[in-house]
Amino acid sequence: MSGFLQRRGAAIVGYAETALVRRSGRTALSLAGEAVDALLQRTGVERSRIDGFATTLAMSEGGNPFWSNLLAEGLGLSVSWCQSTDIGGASSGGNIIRAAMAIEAGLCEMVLCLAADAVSTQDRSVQSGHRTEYGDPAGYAGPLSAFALLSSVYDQRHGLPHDALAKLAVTQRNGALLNDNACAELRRPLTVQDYLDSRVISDPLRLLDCVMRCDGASAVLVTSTRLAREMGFEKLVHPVSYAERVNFDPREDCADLLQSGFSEVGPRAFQAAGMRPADVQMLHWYDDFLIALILQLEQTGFCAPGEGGAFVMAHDMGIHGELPLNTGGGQISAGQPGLAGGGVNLVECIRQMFGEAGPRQVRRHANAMLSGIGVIQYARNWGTSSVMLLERSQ
Amino acid sequence: MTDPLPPTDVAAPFWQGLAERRLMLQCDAASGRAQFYPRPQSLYSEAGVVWREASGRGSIVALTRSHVAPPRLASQVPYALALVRLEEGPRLLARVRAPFESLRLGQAVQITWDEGGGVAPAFPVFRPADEAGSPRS
Repeated sequence: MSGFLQRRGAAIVGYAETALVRRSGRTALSLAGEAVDALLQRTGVERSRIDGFATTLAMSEGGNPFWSNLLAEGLGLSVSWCQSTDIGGASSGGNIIRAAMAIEAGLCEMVLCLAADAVSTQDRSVQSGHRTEYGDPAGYAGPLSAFALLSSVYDQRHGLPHDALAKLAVTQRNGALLNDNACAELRRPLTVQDYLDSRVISDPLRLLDCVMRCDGASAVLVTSTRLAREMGFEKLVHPVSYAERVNFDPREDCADLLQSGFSEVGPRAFQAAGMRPADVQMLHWYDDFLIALILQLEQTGFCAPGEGGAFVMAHDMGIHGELPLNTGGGQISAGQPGLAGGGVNLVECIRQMFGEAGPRQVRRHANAMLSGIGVIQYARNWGTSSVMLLERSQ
Repeated sequence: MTDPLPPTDVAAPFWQGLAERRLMLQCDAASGRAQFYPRPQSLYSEAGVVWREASGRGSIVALTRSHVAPPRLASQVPYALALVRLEEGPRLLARVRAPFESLRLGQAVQITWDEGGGVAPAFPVFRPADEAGSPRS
């Protein structure tokens, strides 16, 4: 598989997304339909040409056990490979690679990767397992609790970099101001002081450390580079390496609560691509909480533990900076459409690489790094960490 | 809000223990190393698990003051929520009954059972540990 990626065998040829809307009153299927229509129109690919389908789950649909089939039916797709991916926020990126695997295996050749959720209109999700059996009775209030607890550890060990977190909040907000698809509620200018003054909701986390849930959908088309060329696609983005870790350190041998799967997938993805962090031109990183960006910097090789704040302060990560980050606002400033949240980072990554980001287009967009975070573990950090490195076709 | 799911079969001794005010942990049958939460196998070997009562003592390794809560605890915010590292090793997520400002990472805590009104088994809550030499009840 990594050979297929490394030799640029897989190609992303198109993307589309809906606007992100707080309480749209719509359904995941409705949002999905809009994103898919836009994708087909933009790429010129006929619906009947799509023969593979991968989707994220939707909290608005609760535990529907037939979700990918239901979507395929609703969207008028007849496919020879179909799956839902349930690694939370890592699912959108993960589906790109699962699509590439299915293509390489000869199961299909034109795969629609979809992410759609209307969680802010209706959240019907019920988690079983430790979340309900040991989390709820203890007072666990969702991912917010987990990231607040992690942050307390970071604060004691290194001191929370409030200035850097504020800078990240402002930097991403500046991107959202240029993003017509960002949630209207978030498209207001933000200052460092606004961040610092925002209400503490679970010490030491402030409101502006956290994502706001919304509704939205995104769709990406993946095919083989060979077929993409045959069909005349000129703009291609290749995933050149990918690393995913589910349930890092299962025996809890590492007593460090901050140590996550990123410490393993970061180096692995870079090695497979023959790249170093210094080679990366932009970051499209999963940002459910700002502290997650600091931890990713420290654990994927950009700086040492405890130096994430200093790294942020020393680099311009804005649209015109040397290392642009989440240029459309990320989930923090554009909104988190539930389990489709990873699609926000993914679509912005591809849009920038295609050179189609308009007023927020970055200068250097030949490659990018995408990440995913999925699922909160019991009394640890998160369940899935993923890193993808992508390269624009020359 | 749906009703909570019933306790699982794997964790039956844990929930039975709470009804008797005992904190029960799974331990690796070979090494004795403890784990939480209950699982169908040991995390540390293929020898299986045995259940043992924990001391109820531990220390705070992560701490927040939560202004948000699951529905059943909504009336109790804000409260101190912690990861408590038990003496036996594993971490447990639990509230700590004390003013948040009085707590710090590394602080010794012990389990308290004065919650639940004697009806349903109370989920473990912790409080600052007694000073050495003055155990309470």
